Amino acid sequence: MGRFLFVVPPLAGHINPTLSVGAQLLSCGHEVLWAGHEALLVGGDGPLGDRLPKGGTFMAVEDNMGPEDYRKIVKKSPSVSGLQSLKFLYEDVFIPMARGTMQGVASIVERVKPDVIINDQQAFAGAVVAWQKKIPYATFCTTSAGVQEPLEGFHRVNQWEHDRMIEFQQSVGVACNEKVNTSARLAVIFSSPLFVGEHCRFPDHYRFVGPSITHRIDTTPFPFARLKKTTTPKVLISLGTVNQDHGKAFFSKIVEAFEHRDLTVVAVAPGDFFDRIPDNFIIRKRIPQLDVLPHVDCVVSHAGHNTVCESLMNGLPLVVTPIKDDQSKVASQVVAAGAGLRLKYRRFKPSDMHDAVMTLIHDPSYRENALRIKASFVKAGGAEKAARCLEELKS
Amino acid sequence: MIMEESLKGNILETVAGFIRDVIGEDYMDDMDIVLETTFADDLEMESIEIVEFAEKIRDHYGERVDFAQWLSAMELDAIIHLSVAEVVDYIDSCLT
Repeated sequence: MGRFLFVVPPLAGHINPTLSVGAQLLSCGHEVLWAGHEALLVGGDGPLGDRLPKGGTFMAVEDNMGPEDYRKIVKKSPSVSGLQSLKFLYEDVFIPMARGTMQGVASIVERVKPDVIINDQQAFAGAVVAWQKKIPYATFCTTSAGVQEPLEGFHRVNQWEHDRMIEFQQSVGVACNEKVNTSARLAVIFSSPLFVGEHCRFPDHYRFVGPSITHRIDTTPFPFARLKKTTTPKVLISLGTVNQDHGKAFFSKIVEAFEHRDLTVVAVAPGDFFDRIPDNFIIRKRIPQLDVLPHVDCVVSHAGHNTVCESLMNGLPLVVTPIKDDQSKVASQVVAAGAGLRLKYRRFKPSDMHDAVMTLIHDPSYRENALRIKASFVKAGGAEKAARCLEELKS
Repeated sequence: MIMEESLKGNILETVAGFIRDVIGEDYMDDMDIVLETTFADDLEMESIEIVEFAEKIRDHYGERVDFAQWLSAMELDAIIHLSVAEVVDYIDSCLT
């Protein structure tokens, strides 16, 4: 039996896939530990220690970045959109976080002596420590955009990203001219080649496993009875857990688009985004998303990788309104797959949104394509497959 | 001098037209496209829209203006702050 150590950033979307894979490893009799922050940077899922699968061990990572540093990030983040987000992520988030947690991760690794370390592609302290201590490590690419060029055709931008990484690595004594944040032995991508785009060719150690969503228990309350009772088509609308500027404007257009219509809207947003609550709206700040998805007909999303893949895993087409980060790439994947329509986050008109949702409901091709992607996800094997890949890396 | 100004004026008009095409006339509201307008901040154009815009420039001006090449050599900061004036100046420099 092996000892597996996940090193995770304080971001729900990056932690969630590790919970499913970790649970799978535990069920196979392995020892599984998580090194991370007690609290999440955004969202309110409760302490990480409480959310681990039964038998998992939580190790709190010491971080030289203090609460004040993180408050600054959380404060700045909503105003960053589009092209600026790449710069913001590297300069203000990824690199400072890796620098801040490296010592803490190293001391946990010395104590625990894991057989395999699993790092997040964007939280690379775990990768750096594994590289330095010559411990086998795997990388979880929690967004498939991470295995594509950040900005296709903009070579200097790709070079800029590469240079920032190498600069960081050299500053912490990693004498390697290749980026070590993605393991050269095993990169696990929670998508399928079909969805990422089959024209993309990937090395053999890139393993596509589809969404990793099993073994999760979410006790967030939700009025399922009301949702099941409604006979009109149901739309889930979510901008994810990260707050974003103009969220209020977004949802007021949503109200204009869908109130007094024969539709039921589940809107994931704070109540103060709404001046009035239409009769056909269910508004919740948080929902048990994996449990709600099987009951809706389509999804409107900011094109966060998790929400998109979880929707497609349910065969649901999407309207995507990317805001920043990897979302533009993920939105392009949705459109290229024929599984949804793209609107502009800030510029769409209520009638555009209404028409797009109606198209998804009435034109079966979107649902068929979503089901095609679903089939590729199912075939990819999910958390079970990811766990097997990790076991292979150990032996 | 007058010639030069009118050439740049024409380029601005062409460029502004392509921007409207890419963004969609419906979405322009009351926004004027002037030399100081920036692609990311003012127009909120995403990278894929900028690429689409670059294609229109190529189709219109042909090989004389290698706009995509010019963009691809641009640093991240420069792309973030790219203004209409810079694009007009670049096209002008290729044509004259």
